[in-house]
Amino acid sequence: MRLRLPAETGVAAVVMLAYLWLAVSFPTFRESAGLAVLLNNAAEIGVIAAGMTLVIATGGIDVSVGSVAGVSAIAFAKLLTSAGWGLPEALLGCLTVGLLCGFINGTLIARFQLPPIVATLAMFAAARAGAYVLSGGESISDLPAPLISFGYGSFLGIPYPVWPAAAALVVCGVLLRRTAFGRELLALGGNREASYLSGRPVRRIEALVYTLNGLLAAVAAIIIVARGATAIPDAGRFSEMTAITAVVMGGTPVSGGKATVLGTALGVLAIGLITNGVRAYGKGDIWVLLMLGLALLLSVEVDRWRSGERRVAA
Amino acid sequence: MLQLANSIRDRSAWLRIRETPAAALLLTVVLYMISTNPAFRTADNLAVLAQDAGILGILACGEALVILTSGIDLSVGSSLAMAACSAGALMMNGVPWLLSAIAGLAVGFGAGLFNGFLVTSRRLPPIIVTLATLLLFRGLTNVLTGAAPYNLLPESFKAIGRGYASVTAFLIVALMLWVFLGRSRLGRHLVAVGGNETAARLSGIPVAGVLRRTYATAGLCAGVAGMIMAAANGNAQWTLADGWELDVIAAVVIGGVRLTGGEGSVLGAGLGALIIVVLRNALFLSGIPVEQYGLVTGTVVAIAALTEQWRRTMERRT
Repeated sequence: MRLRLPAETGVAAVVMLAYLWLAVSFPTFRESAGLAVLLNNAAEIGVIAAGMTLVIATGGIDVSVGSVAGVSAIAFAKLLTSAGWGLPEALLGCLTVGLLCGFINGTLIARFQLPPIVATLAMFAAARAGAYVLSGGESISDLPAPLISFGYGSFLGIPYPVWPAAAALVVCGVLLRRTAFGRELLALGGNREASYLSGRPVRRIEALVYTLNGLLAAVAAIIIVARGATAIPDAGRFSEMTAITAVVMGGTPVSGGKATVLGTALGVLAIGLITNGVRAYGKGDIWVLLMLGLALLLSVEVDRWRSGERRVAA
Repeated sequence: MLQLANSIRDRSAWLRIRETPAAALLLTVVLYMISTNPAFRTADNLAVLAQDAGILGILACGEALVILTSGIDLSVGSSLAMAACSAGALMMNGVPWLLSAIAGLAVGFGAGLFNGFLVTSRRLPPIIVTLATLLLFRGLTNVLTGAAPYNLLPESFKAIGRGYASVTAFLIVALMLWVFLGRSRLGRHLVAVGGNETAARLSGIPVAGVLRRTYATAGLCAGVAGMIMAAANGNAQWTLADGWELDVIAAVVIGGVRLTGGEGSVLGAGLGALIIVVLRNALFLSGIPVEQYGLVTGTVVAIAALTEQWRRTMERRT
């Protein structure tokens, strides 16, 4: 009998290798403070990747999240400064912007049957431009003190931004594994036609998934703004790439129908380790991209080996 | 000719031609710009327009082939930079420009072949493969060039980016690929693979070979566009065409090529590229900052995709 390794094998290997490499070369990494910094930096990717796992489980993709985070961040800062809203109202406003963007994506994909990559590509371009229009290309600072302390403080030794990220991952994991919604979602990703013919509310589920993803992008925007103490119109750029990389590295196939949030969490961790490692070596962010590309190929290759697929195209 | 005559007689036939919405949109935007903005029709502006259209058009033609097989290539911008920098490095080291340009094209072709190899023999989904190579090629180019620009290029090389050379190259590439798709065996196989891969395999089409050649051709197109872009800018740098993959895909979508493969044409993709370039130019002339163009291109992409969807439902109904 063949031993069946779990879907997270590839990413677990990458995480272990990266951690060993860093722990050996940089002693500060072995302390909890080093780990806290790492987790803090990976927080917004964790939030986005959690939603992205659900999207990819339906067989779709959402390339707009980084831009949606950008426009939500600017809207948030504008509400706080020029509009003079209080923090709670502005938080709600920010989440609403993300929700709306996600809802537009969901409507285009579920109701009008556009391919997810086209609909979210349009949103990718439009939302980023929206962030520039709203901000006039300027970054916005002078944000309220409680918000900034959220970006720097910690609770139980774990930085504040990590909590919503963990919460998002846990909620998405529970949604996927323990609820009817999750099962419908996986069924939809596995076989859309069959799902539709069995009378499942395919459109509603699909629309909901993208809306949820927009909402999570706004949560990520709040983290980004708090940690940076400013809102820049470029906020969240490339985070869609990073989040997709985390999900795929984690062992969720892009063909849909299967998903693992645990794998995604490990993928986020792997990305955090790689990013911090590259920076610790004093190399530019371009090395991060290079290493991420390699890590992505490595993990899908491990996954291929794990699933025992040796089939070659005819 | 007969087909054209028939379509004039039967009005609904126009709707059935995939490129009609794109052509109509292009015509509208161009006419609007000509009549409202005198700066649009100056010779200088038209030359800039032609230059951009050539580069984006060539990329879009290559991308269209990949999308026709129901794949996607996100790495075109990075392949372009890698090809341009390879050629630039050779030229700065005294290699004759023609030889360097050929080497650059080979690098583009090789990049495409690498994508094709990962897609076929490793059976990885195209979006993941090309996402990885988008990061990889860009990263490698930066690391290998040490982020240095190659800006002392020979004048004879720069000439291929000047004036209407770029748009002429685009027309030649588009024509070649158009004939290739419609008339050659590989071209027909390519469309068949995109329409239904299983059916294609069962009818004895060598799917893997077709896919490898398709990705390699897209890489070669990126190489050609890279040479022209480096020549036009007088500079080959690792940041060349950063983020262009999205404009390229947008052009293909606007041109009515179906993202699930099997339907569409190189002609449409070329028209899509022209539309994007004219829109960008129009926004530029109205003094709108570059960062805000996305609002227009995003909307146009969504509308084009919706039109295509509507056209298909209409078709199904008749």
